[in-house]
Amino acid sequence: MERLKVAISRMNSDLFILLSTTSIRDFFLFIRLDMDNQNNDVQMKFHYMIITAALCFSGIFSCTKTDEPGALVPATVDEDPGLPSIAISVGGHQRLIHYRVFGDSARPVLFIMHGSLSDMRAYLPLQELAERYRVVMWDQRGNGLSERVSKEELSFECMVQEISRVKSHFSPGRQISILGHSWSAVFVARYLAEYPGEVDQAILMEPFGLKDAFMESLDGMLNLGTSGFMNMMYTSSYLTPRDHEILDFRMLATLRSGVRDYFCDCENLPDWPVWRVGGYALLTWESGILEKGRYRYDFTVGMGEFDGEVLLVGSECSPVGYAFQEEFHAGLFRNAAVLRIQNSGHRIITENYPSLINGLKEFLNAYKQAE
Amino acid sequence: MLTNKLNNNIVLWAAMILAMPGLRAQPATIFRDGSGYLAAGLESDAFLSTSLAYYHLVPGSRDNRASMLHAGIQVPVLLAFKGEGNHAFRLDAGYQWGGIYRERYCVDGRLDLFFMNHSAVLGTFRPVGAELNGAAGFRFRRSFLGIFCKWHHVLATHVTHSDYSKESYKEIIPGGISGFVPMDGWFSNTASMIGYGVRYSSPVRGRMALNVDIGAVNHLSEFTGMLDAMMIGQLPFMLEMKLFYRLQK
Repeated sequence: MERLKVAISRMNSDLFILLSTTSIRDFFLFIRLDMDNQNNDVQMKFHYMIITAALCFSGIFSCTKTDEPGALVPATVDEDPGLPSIAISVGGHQRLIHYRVFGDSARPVLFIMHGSLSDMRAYLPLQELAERYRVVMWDQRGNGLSERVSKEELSFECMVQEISRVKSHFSPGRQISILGHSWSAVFVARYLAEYPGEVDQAILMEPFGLKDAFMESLDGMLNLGTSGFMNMMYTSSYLTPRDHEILDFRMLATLRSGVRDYFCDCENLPDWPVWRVGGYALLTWESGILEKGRYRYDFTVGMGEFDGEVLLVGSECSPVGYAFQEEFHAGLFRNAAVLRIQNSGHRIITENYPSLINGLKEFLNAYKQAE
Repeated sequence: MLTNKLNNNIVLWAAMILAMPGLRAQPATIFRDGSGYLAAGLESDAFLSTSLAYYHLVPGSRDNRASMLHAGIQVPVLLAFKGEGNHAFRLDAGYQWGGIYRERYCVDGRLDLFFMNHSAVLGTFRPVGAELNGAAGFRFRRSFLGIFCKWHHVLATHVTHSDYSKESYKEIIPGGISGFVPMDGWFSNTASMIGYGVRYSSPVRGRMALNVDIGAVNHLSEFTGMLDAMMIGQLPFMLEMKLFYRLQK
């Protein structure tokens, strides 16, 4: 069936090229005939041109549509029933999320939440922690292979609600440990403030400033002079993000662009394996903290309510790395420590995994109790 | 989403209909003498692009109308210097017509068909599309000042996924094979945008004339606002400068 589909697609492509070429040739032929006004069969040629133009349009419409599932980017769980998924209800909408679970169900539950422009794929090595935990990873709604959602469903309240719904599914009535990276570290921080009794230990890997004033202290983190960014600019003239598929496809290039200056070496970016990024989610979240081009937000309200242990993880090179976490975030929690990861930027998992995993094992209670 | 698609189709047909007057070899711009022009341009695509084009003046039936056929190439120079995005270029061919009414009102129209080539981290892309450009304004003694509006639509893009792009389809189902593979081939209606702004044209010296377009660009996407879109390289403004050189009297 797939082969047949590909064959038909190729046939359409060839037909389109043929018709386009014919049409353009006749277009100019027609202009010449009309200008010279010496040929009597102009009307016939005009009809011929209209027919070829119509055929050309039918050729265009028979091309693959950008939002065809799985054509430009991998299909999501609602489009590919073969993927592992559960339904959760957030913001009044029932949505399917893509998830993976590792480890014995009797063990304490550890949630691992991916950052923005990502999905759980890069975090899969952390399944190593399944030797002491039941590790749950999922692609947040609007990200990875989970269902795409509306802007309203990506509000910060809904993201916190999502953690609560997933907890109800995998760990009802029991405390969890939770790790969030980057944007997810912000959602985890909000979850701690709103559901302080639900969490035993929390790990926040490089959350950006939890308050607007913290972010104001940072210099510009965007590097628009990279060839990656110029390539993305040039791409804008032929790929407009009209649907989630084009947007996610284009956002994939952002990972290799070096536009975000979060790395030790911007010329040699570390790998970051993903299936599919959530472009719309990131745009929504970033616009949610801006007001007239300036940061206007405060995620720290109620943060002191959580009295469990918090491990802040910061890398050596990232602008929101160790020094930033130490200066702005450590004091927000009653019981926080900061772990420094050397020779690493924001993509800690792929940049210095050994240091990270050792630090996590030293922090997590299930490992301490086993010793 | 549906509205967007419907709009695209309406605009496509509108472009065809609007192109028809051009077929009748009308009009005139400020360029009404000579037989051909060479034009060198600087554009804001990918920060800085250069273009070279030839315009052939078609003899009109009236003095206040003229039309030109043109063909050219545009290359994003900064991208080329950076050594990535290899073989990026755009080929244009089109027809331009214009007229002067009551001695000082100018109307100008232009239809381009284009083909692009661009290799980047996601793959190789070969878009074909159309660009419709219209301007109206005042003709002063020697120059023209007016507003322009242009519509740029990519009818189809041939996509060849890169290894990096294909990598995202791997290891999706643990121990299994996903039913989806990245599709190389033609994708329809991949981009649409509208530009609008101010146009100024004036003879510079001797056989040369300058044309400047400054304006805003709307990418017709419900997914990105103007500022958010900058993250993926969609700048909300445009600049285009062209220097025309008349080849002979």
